[in-house]
Amino acid sequence: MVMEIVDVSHQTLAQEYQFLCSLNKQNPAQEDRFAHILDLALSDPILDEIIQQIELGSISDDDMQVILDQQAKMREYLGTGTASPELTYANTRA
Amino acid sequence: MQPRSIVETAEQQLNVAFGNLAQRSTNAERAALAFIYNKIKQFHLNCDIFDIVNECYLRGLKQTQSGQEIKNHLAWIRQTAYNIIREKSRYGYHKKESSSSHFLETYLSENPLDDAIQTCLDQPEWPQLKKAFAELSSEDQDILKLRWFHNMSWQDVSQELSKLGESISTSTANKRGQRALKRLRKQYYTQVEKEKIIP
Repeated sequence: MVMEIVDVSHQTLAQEYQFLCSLNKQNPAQEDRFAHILDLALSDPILDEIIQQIELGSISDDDMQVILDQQAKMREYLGTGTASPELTYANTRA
Repeated sequence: MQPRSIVETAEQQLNVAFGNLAQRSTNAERAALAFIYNKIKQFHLNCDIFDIVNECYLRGLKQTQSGQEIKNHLAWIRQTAYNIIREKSRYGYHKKESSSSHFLETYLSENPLDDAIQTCLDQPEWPQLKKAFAELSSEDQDILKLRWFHNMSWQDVSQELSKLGESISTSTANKRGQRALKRLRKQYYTQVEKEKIIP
């Protein structure tokens, strides 16, 4: 999917988000700024979509394999194929 | 207080969102997991996606039970995961640390400061320590919590205090901490003596 950036503020936020992701370590001010962008994405579907595309675009095949392994670990934890996700996650609390 | 049915519905939605995160392979779910993976790497933490997702779920549960609504679950998971990762980073959950560090350290790194210290002080063998600690000023308590209960370096302690609006140097933090420890020791022995007199 091609990322479509619809206005300047989203473009600016996307660039800033990518910059903050590219840092080896974020300082406290940068952490706060990053948290603020995530906060904005809670109520802004376009920004949310942009962030999703950035995250997916940053993942190599090897990284994706790690993610899939972790997903499998979660499925194992929940118990696979026996019930809906709703029931299985609720069951872990018992 | 929220009606029970609203809370139950919110909990069901939360369960579905987390179930989907584990079971679905759409871009939205993968992006959320990729986000957590990238942040763990960026903060050089010694944990995996599974740990963070579980912590997110528990926080989500707490939030829904308190009546707070979660509208966009995946965006909320991203935001909460980031907060958890920041907290873990702040309280020394880095790769360089031994993964076999004992339970108390792990517990302390995963729990809010006041909960952690409360748990330590609630140990039955330390009633006098608990009383002695309560007798200290809030400044003394803060510095002891950071240095000895959270195992922070003096540099980290001075940085944490700076965030609370009190700018002090590393050596000042050290001296202040030593004085606080001395006062805690004194209070502790006072409590022990009191209990000898009035058993």
